[in-house]
Amino acid sequence: MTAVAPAEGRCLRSGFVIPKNSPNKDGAYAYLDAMLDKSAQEAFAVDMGYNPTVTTRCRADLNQRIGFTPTRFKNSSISTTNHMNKNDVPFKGMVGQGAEELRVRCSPRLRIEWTPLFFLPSPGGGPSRGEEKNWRNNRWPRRLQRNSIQTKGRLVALSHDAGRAGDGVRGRRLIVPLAILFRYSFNSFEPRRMMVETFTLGQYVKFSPILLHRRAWTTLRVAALCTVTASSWVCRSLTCGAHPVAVQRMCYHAGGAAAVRRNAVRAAWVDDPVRLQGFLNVTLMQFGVITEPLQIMYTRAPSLPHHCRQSALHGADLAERDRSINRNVEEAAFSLGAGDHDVSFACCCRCRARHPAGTILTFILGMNAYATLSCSAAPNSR
Amino acid sequence: MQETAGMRIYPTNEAFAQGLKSEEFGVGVMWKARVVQWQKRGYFP
Repeated sequence: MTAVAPAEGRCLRSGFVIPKNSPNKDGAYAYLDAMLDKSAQEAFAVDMGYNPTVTTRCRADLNQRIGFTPTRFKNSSISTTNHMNKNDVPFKGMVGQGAEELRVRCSPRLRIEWTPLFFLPSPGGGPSRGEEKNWRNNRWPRRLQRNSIQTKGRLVALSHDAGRAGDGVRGRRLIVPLAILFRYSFNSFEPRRMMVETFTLGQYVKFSPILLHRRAWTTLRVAALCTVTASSWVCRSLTCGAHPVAVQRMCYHAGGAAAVRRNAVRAAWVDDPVRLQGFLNVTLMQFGVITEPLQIMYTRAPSLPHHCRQSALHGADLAERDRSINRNVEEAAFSLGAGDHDVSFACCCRCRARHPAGTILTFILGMNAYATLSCSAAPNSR
Repeated sequence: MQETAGMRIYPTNEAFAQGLKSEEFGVGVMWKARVVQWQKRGYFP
């Protein structure tokens, strides 16, 4: 392994300072003197491998490895403090510009690929709120600023891995499965034989009263709401550092253990207490609190447990994506200044956009769950 | 080589050394002194 130095020359800058208000200046000068002593500098070169001060020469064999050729040494710019004081601002600009050029030239993949879906406030630990507000006229930003260090951190994580993480089902790969599902809707469904492959509009005719009813619109809205709450909540849980499996379990139990059970069981677990003759109504009437049963079943309230259930389903997908992100990339993003929550949350959003399978699944199940409940409850449900 | 395209950023010097050792990359920007330290410890020839 060999090292090379740029032929164009370079700028070396490394040093110690004594603060103006230092309580013991004499001690500080004594320390500097000891540090700049020839023996100390030689030991520094031998032990650490860093070049000694300009006037000290280390051993020839060591100089061969860590030193510079006379030409390269001549090309080096040994800056003075006064010079740096005068040129601090342009120097920083030069460094920044150089880094930017390097970034753009070396990796065309590193480009802005932020997908703004939902931007929820950080629950502490991420970039401070004040910092974020300063970026854009003291307002919480809807979109991320391009030049912020946090954005650069996010970019690394986003562009590198999240977009092509793991073996997830990407959007375009969903076209065929969705087409197959659409084709199923033209099959006929018989009680005993279940799905019979044929081509008929029977299902659409049969369900047209429901589809045309305003309940269809409500179903879509409830399903959309379920999807949004589920994915946002799971995202935030994951970005808070909760273990993906824990999030799944939590959602699963929160939604009643019926998340993967059959409709009848699910109805008994979750919906029974709010039925007309359910536990709640019977209890309240028993104690004389109400005289007529509450019609909770006919409102949208029973859909609340569904939100939790959808979270469990969505959590599985997102957690999988979250796990598949290269840890190195995340850490690189951290070292560029991104907060813990930023990286995770950004990755989650990115995954959600690139791998919409979980989102679509959640939406479909949301519709299914609500419609089943709604239809089975009563024809006059709202 | 796991990947052939693009730039890689390593979060720490140690991660850089590991990447170099495992031949994830061949050329990188790093403190010269760090290279000497690694050679002294026998990480690299």
